[in-house]
Amino acid sequence: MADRQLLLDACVAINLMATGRLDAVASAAGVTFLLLRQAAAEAGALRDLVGGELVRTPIDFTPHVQAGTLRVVGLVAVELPRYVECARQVDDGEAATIAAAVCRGIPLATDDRRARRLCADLGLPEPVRTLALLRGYAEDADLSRRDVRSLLCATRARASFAPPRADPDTPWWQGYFEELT
Amino acid sequence: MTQQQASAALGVSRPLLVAIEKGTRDVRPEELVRLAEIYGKPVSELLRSVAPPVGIGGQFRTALGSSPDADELSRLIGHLESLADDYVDLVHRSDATLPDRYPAVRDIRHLEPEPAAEDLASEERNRLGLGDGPVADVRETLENDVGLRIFVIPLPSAVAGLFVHVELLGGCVAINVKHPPERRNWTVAHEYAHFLVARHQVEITPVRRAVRAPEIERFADAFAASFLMPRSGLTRRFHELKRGRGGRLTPAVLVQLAHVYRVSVQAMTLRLQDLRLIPAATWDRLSAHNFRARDAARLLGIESPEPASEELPLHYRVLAAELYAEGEITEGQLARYFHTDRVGARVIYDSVMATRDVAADGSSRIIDLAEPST
Repeated sequence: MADRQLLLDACVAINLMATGRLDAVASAAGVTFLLLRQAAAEAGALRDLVGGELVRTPIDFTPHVQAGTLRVVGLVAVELPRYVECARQVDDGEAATIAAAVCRGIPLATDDRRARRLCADLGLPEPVRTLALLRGYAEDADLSRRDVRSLLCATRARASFAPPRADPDTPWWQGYFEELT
Repeated sequence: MTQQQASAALGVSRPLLVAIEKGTRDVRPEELVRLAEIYGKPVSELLRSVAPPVGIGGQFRTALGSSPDADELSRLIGHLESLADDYVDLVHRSDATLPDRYPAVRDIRHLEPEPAAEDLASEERNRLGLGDGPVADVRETLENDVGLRIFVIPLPSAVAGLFVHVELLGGCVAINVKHPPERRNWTVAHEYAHFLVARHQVEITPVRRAVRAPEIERFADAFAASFLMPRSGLTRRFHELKRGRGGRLTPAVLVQLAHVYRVSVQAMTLRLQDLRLIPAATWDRLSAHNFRARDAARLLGIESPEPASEELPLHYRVLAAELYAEGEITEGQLARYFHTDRVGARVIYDSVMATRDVAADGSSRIIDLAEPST
């Protein structure tokens, strides 16, 4: 288990789960992922094509908890005031994640525009994005273009993920999708 | 859960809980988190700045009294109420105005229901610029051009739809998602009739009626028939189709017309009977011969229309998607407004904010109309 920790908001956790390579991404980033219970509860399900039918595949973090790459944690009493303050502006998962980031001084990952704005208002360092984690993993593991494309396609197909234009890695992502057209 | 039970679970006295809920005593963070657990609601929802304003459940209390599905209906009306509350909340957050082109309530007392319905349906079609052809999408038309708020939700199978007028939202209609698209179209038009003539009375529309239905129900059914299948256009199309078959009337004519007008074959046959274009009791004869409309349509290569399964009105979905695109709400909040999980919310967002187009090489491409840019 890595010493460094990175808090995942539900949106990033969903995207990483869609790739099926969360453990490898954590290893490449040299971190243990932390997920607040409130964020884990909002993860829901991925969408998979099974026999031509779109089915919901509930997201199960258990294998990654057992592998030690992900810890699902709760807030402690001193963090509750900050959590409630954040919940006035964002949903419970984002509020809990941001409260933990503030109170514990741990960096966090989120793609959510509203949540990132709140982080900036609270003076937190700029949050990591899904694509930065995936790009770091792709480069660290020296993945072939085909493997990277398959990784990104999984986030699109299973999690309906599309990065915002403001993400500096969006051109990198688009490069792989343009190859498909 | 009663206040007594909630206060016991929270470990405070009932008067203290009442004071917290009224806002006369500040709630401590740990109490709020515990209250959210007790009520099974998100903390962020308990902190929502606008109090739930709609109160649909109370309006249905009397109407529910005689319903055999009262308990289940009551629960589902609670769901409709929560959707309506969210709609009001979205309008408030967006600082938007609700689209409405509501005509004055029409008084039909002392009028024969069927002719009065035919007249009003014709007036409404003219007002909405529909001509005398089939309505391509009756839900979309009434949502966009009238301002009805139409929700497609699960209802007991014996219930086709609900109508209620809410001060902050206007006319709200709930349609049974379990029913086929043709039946849903009929129900939408039926509930619209209630909106036009009895706006302030709630309505629970059963699938089957007593033999002698009340005048208002006869009016609403006649309005639905005339609105969806206007006399002049239907007569013209009927004769064209019949001529194309050498003047013979076959079940295929009925199936084709039903498909064009997006109604059931039964509704089409009964309408043609009423217009005296086909012999009376044609539907009874078809039923006696075990006629199966779906099988007949399949034989003719006619596909059943895709059911519009979106639970929420388009205007509602657009408001939520725009708030998300502008970074005013988070993905979690978007999912809560769409009453789905986050991936489901992303799918709905894509469908609302992207429009399909054709790329220079002829392939299909999707243009995002409101991608977050910062």
